[in-house]
Amino acid sequence: MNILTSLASRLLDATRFVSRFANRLIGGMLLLVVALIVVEVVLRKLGLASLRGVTEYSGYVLAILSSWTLAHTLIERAHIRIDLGYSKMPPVARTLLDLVSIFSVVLVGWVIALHAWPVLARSWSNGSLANTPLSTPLWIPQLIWALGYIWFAIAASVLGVRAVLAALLQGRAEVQALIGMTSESPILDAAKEERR
Amino acid sequence: QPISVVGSWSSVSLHKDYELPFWTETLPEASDDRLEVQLSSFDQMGINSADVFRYLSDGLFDIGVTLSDYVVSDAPELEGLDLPMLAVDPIQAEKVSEAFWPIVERTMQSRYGAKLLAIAPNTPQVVFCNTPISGLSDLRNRSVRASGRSTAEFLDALGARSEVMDFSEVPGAMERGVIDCAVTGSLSGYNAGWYDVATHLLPLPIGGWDHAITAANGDFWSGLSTEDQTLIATQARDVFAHGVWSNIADSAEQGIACLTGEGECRAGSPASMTLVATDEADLETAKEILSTKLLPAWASRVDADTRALYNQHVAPLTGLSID
Amino acid sequence: MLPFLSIGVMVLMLTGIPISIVLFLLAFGIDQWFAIFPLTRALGQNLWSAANSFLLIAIPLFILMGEVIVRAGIAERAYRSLDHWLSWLPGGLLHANVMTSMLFSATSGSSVATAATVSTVALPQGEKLGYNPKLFCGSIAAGGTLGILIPPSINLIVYGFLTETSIPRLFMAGLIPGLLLTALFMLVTLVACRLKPSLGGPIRRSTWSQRIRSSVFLFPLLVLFAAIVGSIYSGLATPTEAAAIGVLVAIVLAACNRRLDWRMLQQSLDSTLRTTSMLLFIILAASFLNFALSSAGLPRQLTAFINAHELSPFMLLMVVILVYIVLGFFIETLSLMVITIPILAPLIFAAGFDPVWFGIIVILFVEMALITPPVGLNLYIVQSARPGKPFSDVVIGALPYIVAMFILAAALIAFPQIALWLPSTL
Ligand code: NA
Ligand code: NA
Repeated sequence: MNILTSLASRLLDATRFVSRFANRLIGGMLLLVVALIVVEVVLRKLGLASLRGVTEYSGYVLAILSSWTLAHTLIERAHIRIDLGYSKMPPVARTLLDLVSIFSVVLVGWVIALHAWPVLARSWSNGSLANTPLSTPLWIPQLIWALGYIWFAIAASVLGVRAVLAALLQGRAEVQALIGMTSESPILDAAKEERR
Repeated sequence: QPISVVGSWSSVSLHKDYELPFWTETLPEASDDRLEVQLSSFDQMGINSADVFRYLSDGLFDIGVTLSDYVVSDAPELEGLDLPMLAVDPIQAEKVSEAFWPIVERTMQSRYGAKLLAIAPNTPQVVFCNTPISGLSDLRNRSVRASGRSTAEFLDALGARSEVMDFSEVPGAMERGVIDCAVTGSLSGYNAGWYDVATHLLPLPIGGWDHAITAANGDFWSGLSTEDQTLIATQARDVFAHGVWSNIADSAEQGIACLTGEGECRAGSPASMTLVATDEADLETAKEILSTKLLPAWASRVDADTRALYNQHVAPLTGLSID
Repeated sequence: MLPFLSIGVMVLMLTGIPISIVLFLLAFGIDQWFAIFPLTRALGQNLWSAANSFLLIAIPLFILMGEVIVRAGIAERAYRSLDHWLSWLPGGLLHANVMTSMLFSATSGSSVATAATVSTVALPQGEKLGYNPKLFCGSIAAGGTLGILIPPSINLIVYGFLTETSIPRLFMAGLIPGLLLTALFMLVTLVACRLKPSLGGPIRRSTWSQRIRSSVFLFPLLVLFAAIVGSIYSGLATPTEAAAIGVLVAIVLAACNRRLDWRMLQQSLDSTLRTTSMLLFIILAASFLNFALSSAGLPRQLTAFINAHELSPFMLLMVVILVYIVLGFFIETLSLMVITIPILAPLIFAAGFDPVWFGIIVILFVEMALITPPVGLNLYIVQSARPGKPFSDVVIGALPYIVAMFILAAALIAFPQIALWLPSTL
């Protein structure tokens, strides 16, 4: 049984590593978007040629951000949950609700992942090109985007399995640490971290 | 069970004055109340205008309408229908759209498994500027908001800088000089109050005629009786689309009258934009760009059968054929 | 359909399932039980089209800008300067709280970020000087809400996105009401502390030289505000582009403060992506729920209901405001906006109200929702910066400022020009 837990733990560590890596890459893309937009504004003001496609590529970056950052946000427990009923429950019920929550995330994650795929499949089979002067083949950004949702579904499943094992074998404190509700906001955490 | 129809923009004349009475009154009456319709529009449904036909082929509704310019990502063949300056006047525009029918019909079938029912225009897509211009050549070096890819290509060929921008952002951007000019339908521009920020109107259809395509889901269509199929097809083409086309010259004049005050404006109090006269040289330039840049670019994006259909049906009308 | 929605929201909220997931589950439920067509087939396309948006990329950019500013210590120094300027007034530091919130709002797009920033710089000071915690916390929670009324504002961008209203006009429309609300907050503080001096703290006078020397610390925030708002209204940039310019200026300011390094930038990006990811998922979920609701015919039913009851435009407005106040108790604000606007805004516009003006009204009541219990994000933010102390302090302390919000709402309804004058002159 211990082997199972440690296996799940290691799997979760790997998931966390990949998710954080994806976030780092997207962070870099966001800085690139800032740079490109500023260059575009300056070029336009000077009346010089404009960079084609800044608007278009920024849109793709946002779409990729919207799917690929979800896994890290889930693992960091940063999706907002309302503690109206939760906080008034006894600890056993809270643990159960945490499990209900993570499995609704798993469910929704897979439903989205399975429905993201046809969007890409259709653009691929149809040879769809963006309605812009660059005519980007749409399957390229859509492939990266759809993979992000698939990764989110996988990450949620790994976390779900790990949490169930924790509930069965390790106790409530461990479940709380994995998928419990946090009361602090990420922004405030950051500010405190800075003051230290 | 009523037929569910998703119409075009709920705020434009095409929807209010034509789609609404046709689908909710004319067609049910013509069928002796056998057919019942539930009509909404893609903006009211919260559907992105570019996704309408994807949803139609997924079976989310029975009949859908969207503008050909919005779906050229999936169906580049439809871009040909609305190439800038392919048709300069309403009569020619109607003939061109009829000549394109075989291409559009084949495209809707092959891309979406859908049955084409009607092709109807909005108002011509003209140029609004917040800076004095005296003709097409003055767009050189100006930044102009384009309504679609082929319009952008046309503007770039003129030496202008084409920009992509949300319709709702245009007035603010033009007012503050982020852009100099913008292309949109003349009556849409009037209704959205663009005359508050724009001073000059160039009435050439640089963005084409903004064709709306009405089509039916394939499964829905094949589930209808032959009698109903014939009724809907003939009513949509001969009553609905014909009705729009027969008033298009008047709508185009209305757009200009309401924006410039030259002529009688029935839609409200006329604005006083300066109407820029178009001359032969402008038309020549436009035709040159169309035949040397836009048509070849379009031809390279479509298959050989579409090119053959174009040369067979459309080229005799426009005098421009493709290799 | 409405009973299903209300019960669904209640049940799912009590279970603590993440809000975005709740919205998706509701949409799947609508598809299962109320729609004629298989709406979930449209899920993927819906998510792609809503996320592939140049407009919405302003959200991570404005958040990133705020993160950089906080980590550069710029907010903290501004607070110290305002302390020198304002602490002679009855209420002392409370005025510095409100003014710092206002200034920081002018560079931040989010109320939560504003409240979090001001909490971290103000609370230690308040405790040290022995302020009554109630009004002190209340002034920060309420002051923080200014973040979304004074431009730039993420919530106004979302409103503009959902209703297709011009974002620069919305930004301009928020400025005068934002300044008025700041003044009202200070007035409320002044009156409360005059009537009952124990609500405030010690009144301290700084020397003029302290004031003037410290003023240099207000400069970075003014530079940032000028860069963002100036670039929009001088015709240099669209709101999204202005957000990118803001990020660049914030990074330069951080470098001038000698606080810029890779670690700091990395932390700012990490935190930005966490917040953006959470917000975007809620926005996308709400946009899909909205599609499901419209397809299932909810707007038609609501319009029929309103037509049947022949509400006058004014009565309609009152009903809508009541809906915002009541839902605002329970629902997180961004969800509140994305759930209600697609349904209510068309009715309001059809009744002849101005979309820009209504945007400001919505934002005002969204601000109120941020400081009303039980679900009031700004209350939580302030509370989480003072662990172990009673939450009721924050809730009670925010009450006087809710009165100020009602006064501004009444003024906006009586004189729409308060919001509409500035956008019409620019
Ligand atoms: Na702000
Ligand atoms: Na609340």
